[in-house]
Amino acid sequence: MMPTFKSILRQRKFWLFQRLCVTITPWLSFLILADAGFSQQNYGDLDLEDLLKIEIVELVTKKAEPLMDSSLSVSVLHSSDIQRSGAQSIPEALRLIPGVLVREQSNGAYDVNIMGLDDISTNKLLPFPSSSTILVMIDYRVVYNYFSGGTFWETLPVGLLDIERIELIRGPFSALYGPNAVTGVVNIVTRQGSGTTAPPYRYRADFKSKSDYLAEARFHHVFANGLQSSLSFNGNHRKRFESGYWDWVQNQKIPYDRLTTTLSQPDIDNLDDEKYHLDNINSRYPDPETSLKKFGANLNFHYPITSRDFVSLTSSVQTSFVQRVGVNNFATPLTTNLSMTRSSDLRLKLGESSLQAATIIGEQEVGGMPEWKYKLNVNDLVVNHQFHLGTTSLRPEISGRQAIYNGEFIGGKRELNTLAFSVFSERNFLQDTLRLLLAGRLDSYSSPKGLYPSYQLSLRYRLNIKNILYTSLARANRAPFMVDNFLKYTIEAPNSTIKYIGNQELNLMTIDSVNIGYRYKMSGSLSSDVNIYNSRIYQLSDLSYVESDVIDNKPVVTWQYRNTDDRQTQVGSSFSVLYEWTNTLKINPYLAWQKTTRFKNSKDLDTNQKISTPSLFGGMSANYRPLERLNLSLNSYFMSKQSMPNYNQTMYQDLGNYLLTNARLAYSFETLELFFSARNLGTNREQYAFADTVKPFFLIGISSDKLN
Amino acid sequence: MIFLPLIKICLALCLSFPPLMAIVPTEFQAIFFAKVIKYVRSPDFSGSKKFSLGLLYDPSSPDSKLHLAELFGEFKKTLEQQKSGSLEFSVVEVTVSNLATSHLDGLYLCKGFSPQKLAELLKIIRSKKLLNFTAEESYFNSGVMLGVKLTEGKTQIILNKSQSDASGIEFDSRFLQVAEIIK
Repeated sequence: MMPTFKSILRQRKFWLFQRLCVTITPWLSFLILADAGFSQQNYGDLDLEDLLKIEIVELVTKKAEPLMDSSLSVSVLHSSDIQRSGAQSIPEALRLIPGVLVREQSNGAYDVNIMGLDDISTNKLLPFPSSSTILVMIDYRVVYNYFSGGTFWETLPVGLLDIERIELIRGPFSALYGPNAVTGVVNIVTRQGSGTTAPPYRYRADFKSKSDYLAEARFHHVFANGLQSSLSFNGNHRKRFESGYWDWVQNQKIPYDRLTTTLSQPDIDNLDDEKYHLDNINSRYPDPETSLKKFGANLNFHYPITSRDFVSLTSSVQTSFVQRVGVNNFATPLTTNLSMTRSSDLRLKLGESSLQAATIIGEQEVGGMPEWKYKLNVNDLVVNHQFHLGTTSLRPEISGRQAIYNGEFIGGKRELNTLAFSVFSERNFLQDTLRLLLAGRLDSYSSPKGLYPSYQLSLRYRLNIKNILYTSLARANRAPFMVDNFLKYTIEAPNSTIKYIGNQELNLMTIDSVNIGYRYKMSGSLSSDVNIYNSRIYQLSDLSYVESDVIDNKPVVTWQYRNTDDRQTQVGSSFSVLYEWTNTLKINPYLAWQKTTRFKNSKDLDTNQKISTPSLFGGMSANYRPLERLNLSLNSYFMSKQSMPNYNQTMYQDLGNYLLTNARLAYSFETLELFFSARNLGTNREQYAFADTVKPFFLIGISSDKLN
Repeated sequence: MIFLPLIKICLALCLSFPPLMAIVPTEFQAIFFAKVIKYVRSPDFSGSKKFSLGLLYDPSSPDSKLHLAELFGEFKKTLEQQKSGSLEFSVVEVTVSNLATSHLDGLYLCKGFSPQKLAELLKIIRSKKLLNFTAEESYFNSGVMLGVKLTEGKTQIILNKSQSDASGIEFDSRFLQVAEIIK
């Protein structure tokens, strides 16, 4: 029987063709327009005032270039933006960037995703992923947790004063930065090597109460031979907004010492019986009133060798206590997470060669769950060299990662190793009117065996200096984790035994994505960026039922991680406008829209499960400086309604449209700034289902960084 | 730990290299220089046909030579494409020894000059009343007239007003509004 046109369209290989058509059509349109009489311009044609407003980024190509010229959807957040907004943490600051979905789980604990897909990890044992599809780096050092996958924001050792800027790419970019850059990349650029004009010290303190504060200090010194050093400390202490915990059995918030464990198969009419209560409660919740306690210290030596070359060594330590949604303890979503790590990061750039060697060692655990306690040691080494062949630059790179985790949950000491080879290439055509960016990477993991390719093909077309069109086609994948691969966990419930087993032959979650964007700079004061994308995520895995048996008259049920045919598709867009009027007024509205569709068995629409990601999210930041010393900042964040599942997806909590506003009023004196800040205005409910209610609060503070 | 020997090697390297640092992309440095000329009111270059920019470096300093190599091609390409009114740019290499005899309209100071050498050079530059420019932050407070640096991802122009006054070089008020003025 002849296939119909409709059936051909459904074929998987045709999807690529569709994407290419979508990519090429606007290019052709623009080329035609260009021929129709648009004049070519370069940066030399701009006025001095406009040139001074050109923003420089480096995340896309690892070299400084104007943001306007970038081939990908990229945003930058500077330290002054963070300071003026009054953000008290990195995740909160990320709300100022288009396309970033940030939900507060308890005071100071956040879930962060880029363009959504936050529920993509269909993991029955770990139903609450922790930013597992974005790659976060500090000065290009990857800070990813390979135990269960994800970024634990409270374990980042750097404070807000350490940050010079945060660069963010929306969309996959594994080809350049490695696995886990599935929905986006975040690079936190610190002030290391900030030069001779940097102030010798910086400090900041925010006070809400004596048990709710943020305090940071940073010292910088330049030695006579040019060696720069910095030492910084940061501490944050937050109290929870409420005292109750959501109980999975009672479906309401109750005191922590009455939490019911679902494993006890409780009698609904007799829940006060202690045998149904969560055991070991004081170890699980040693400080139920506190949501976050963290401390970090960083020591950096930076030596600028030449104008482009440097060597930099950073050592950091951190300890943290947080109550956030993460591990399923079969009673309530909020769990206590403890971390104590130390890390070192060496970066060396000599000529066209660069090397980065990083290591992190430490211990992390979920309070009161001895099986969820592990030691970790992750070592990374990246070496690359850039060649120039006419207008083409070529950068081959070799990288290796050794991740060693030792814990009861994975049956002792386990190791996951990765060796990767990648090539990044960039070429300009037609006097830089057209730029082609090509990157390819092959990752070889110790498990699953085999080579995993990722690629990036990006084109940037500069119609003129004010109109930039860019597009990219990319494939990226997530890394294997300890839990998925090596899980060895047995739960002895009163009436049954449940065994969970890992699998070293799991496919790695993969994304294919196409993205088209357009940047328009109407004048030096007004600019906009819009992009649309279409993504497909597949090669998912989940715990699957394997068998039931009866041993010693007790049922034994075995579950194992298995590959599934499930997949998700997403189409979305982000849009932002920036208006800057001298140094007085800055307004930046931004919005992201997405639609995710979930398929079971590759092609059947899954109508049983809801998508957690809101279809619309975004905000607006506004900064007004009526007087030289006075600054008023307002920023709002919006999320449309969303529906999030409980631990076993038998119940959903619907969260309606959400709008919160933060305000900050600052007055500068000669050497310091005093400020008053109001946070979470207009909100008094959960941002993350079954987690804490988020409430407004007020604080006062002092900072050494004056307005400029 | 394989990293320990690497750390030792790098620290050893760090003690053997002289310090240098630059931030603004070279192409942008050249463009900024061309733009700044438009705002110079005295001496008035508007009647001139040519503007000769010297890239001043120290041949005895490997670091200075390296910096010159990084700059020269980009400055030559960018500035020679660039016009400031009817003014055409030419870019030449200048060493300390031929500075006094060179016929120049402006100077870019490369990296690699010690503070003592820089102080001596600036005396000569001032006596010749030359517009001078750098991207090396450590030179800003040593008496170089104009500088560029990146602040918050954007280029900032630094003007040492006392040096420009001493050299008799005046700038348009619009330029003074956008530059950060130090004395």
